[in-house]
Amino acid sequence: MSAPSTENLSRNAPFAWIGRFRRWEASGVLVALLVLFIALSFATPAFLSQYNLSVVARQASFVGLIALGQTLVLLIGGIDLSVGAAAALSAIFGSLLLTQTGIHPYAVLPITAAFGFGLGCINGFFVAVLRLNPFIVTLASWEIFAGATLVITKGYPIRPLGEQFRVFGQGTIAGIPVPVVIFIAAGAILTYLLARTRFGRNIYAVGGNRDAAELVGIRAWRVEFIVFGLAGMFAALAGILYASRMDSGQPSVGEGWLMGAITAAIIGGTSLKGGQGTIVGTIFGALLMAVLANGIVLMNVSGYWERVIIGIVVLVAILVDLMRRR
Amino acid sequence: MYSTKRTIFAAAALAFSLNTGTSLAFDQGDLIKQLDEPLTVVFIPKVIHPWYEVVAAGAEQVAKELGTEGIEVNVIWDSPPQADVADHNRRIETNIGRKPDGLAVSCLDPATNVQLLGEAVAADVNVITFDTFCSEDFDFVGHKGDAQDGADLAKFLAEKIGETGKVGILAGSLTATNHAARVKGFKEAIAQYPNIEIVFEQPDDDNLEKAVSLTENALQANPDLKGIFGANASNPIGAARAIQNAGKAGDVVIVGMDDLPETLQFIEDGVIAGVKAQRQWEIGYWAVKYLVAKNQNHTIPHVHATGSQILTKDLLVK
Repeated sequence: MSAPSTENLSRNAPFAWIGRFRRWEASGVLVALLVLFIALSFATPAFLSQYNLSVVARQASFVGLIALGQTLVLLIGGIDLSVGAAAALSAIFGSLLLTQTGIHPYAVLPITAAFGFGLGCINGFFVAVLRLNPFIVTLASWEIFAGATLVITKGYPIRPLGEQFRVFGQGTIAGIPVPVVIFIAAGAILTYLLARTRFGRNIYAVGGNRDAAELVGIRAWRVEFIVFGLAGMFAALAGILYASRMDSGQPSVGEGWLMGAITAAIIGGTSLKGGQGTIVGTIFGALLMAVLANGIVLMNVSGYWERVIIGIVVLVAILVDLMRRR
Repeated sequence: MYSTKRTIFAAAALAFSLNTGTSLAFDQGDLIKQLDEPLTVVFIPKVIHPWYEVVAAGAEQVAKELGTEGIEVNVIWDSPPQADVADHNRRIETNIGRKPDGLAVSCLDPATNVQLLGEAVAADVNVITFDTFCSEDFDFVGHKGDAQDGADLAKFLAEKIGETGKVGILAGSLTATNHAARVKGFKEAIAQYPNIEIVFEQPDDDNLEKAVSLTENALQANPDLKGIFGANASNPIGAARAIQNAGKAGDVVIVGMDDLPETLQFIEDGVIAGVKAQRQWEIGYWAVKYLVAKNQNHTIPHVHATGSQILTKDLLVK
């Protein structure tokens, strides 16, 4: 990481600051986010309205929560393709819990999160304990989760979920939508976890070099198992919050979230090879994707071009990241 | 003091009589708002699909007509690249934020769309639903008789195969309520024919390639298959390609939905027997017209059923 030029730079305080910023994994995505934000503010008056900003932030939160879990999985050198389907299945589980059992609406959130953790642990068992390829395992569990959702619901949504439950998706705390608060809080906790705890350091160690990590006494399988569980938990949180937002447990909801979550993590500086990446970068990545999608609608960009533009932005982000590393 | 009071009273009485005088000459035309600023109308379809191109053509036509009357209308299409519920809802949310003069939405997922459309109405956006009906709460332009379409096609198919034999169903997407309603209508109508047996029913997810392979598999399993019913616009095409490749064009009667160009070609070639075509050009035309009318303070019909008709080779030749 530390190039020889670092010492030269550190003598001159402002330059050192710039140098540090340049080496920071999340710098590229932050600059891109700011540029896009400023450009859109000038280009369209609707962008900066309070309504629009809270809509964008909330939209970023759903994919963002999934991306947080995905970042952890990418950090250990894995990938989880089942997160979108896990989100949908968990949302259906939570909705059924709410409508069928008469449980208190506030209890649904933690129970659904635990359910999601359990789904993730299924992946964790195959990947960490049986040492199977995560791509293949989660490809299979994606199908199973998505299929189970259809078996349970026959494609029909479960609604209404009730006045009290809606607060999670539709309410605000100090003017900020609740899903955004949960997203930021989860991001803060994970950042602390990764930087300050042994579990966090173990994640980077396992992702950087699994064999070396095991040699120094880290039980790699346990780290992997828990990380996959956490990915399932964050997926479940996103799913149940979205259900609350829409007042409906929605069988087809997570379909588009997988690629969005992976993209957010990657443009946020997380490496697909493991061991490298930050939570802050992923949060910016999720925001960038949401702002971009919002801008495309506000600027009346044709739907035919939309995916081309998103692809180009991802490529540019990777190129910027490449330049930063060299 | 007394006199002042009387003067005021008299003045008030005079004013009142003048007022009633004008209200006798009340002109209902005054209720209509003049439009001097250009209007923006946003269409949010379920997904990018050639079917909506015809809707768009109708919308363009009415915009042109209104232009000659001095009303400028910008029609914007905000189309999800894939039929993804979250993406579709995101677009509705975002468009509420920019406050268009009219918002026309084709419901992809009625349950969640209703929530957001309610929020749009609460934010004073003129909302109309088109293509797929989702709730009585909103005005609707389009074709509502999905189950009836299925039933009509069942009768048509039964006649073509002499009311006897094996038929199959390509059921479309499991989460699309209109596909499900067509399948239900079809099965209920087929139940009236004791000699017709439904031998397979598979979801093709509105995916043409999948419809092709499902039909190929169905032919393997049932070489004596007499008919196929497709519940959406893409699967009759998929079935037709598979049947044509198998050299069974004409032996297996295909019925389905909508009049995409390839479907019309297949009808002309005698591979597809007939389709129920919705009149989506009208849907686009009237949706814009009604949204402009709403801005002018007109009342509009709550439901405008644009209907559908069975297209056959005989009809096309005419």
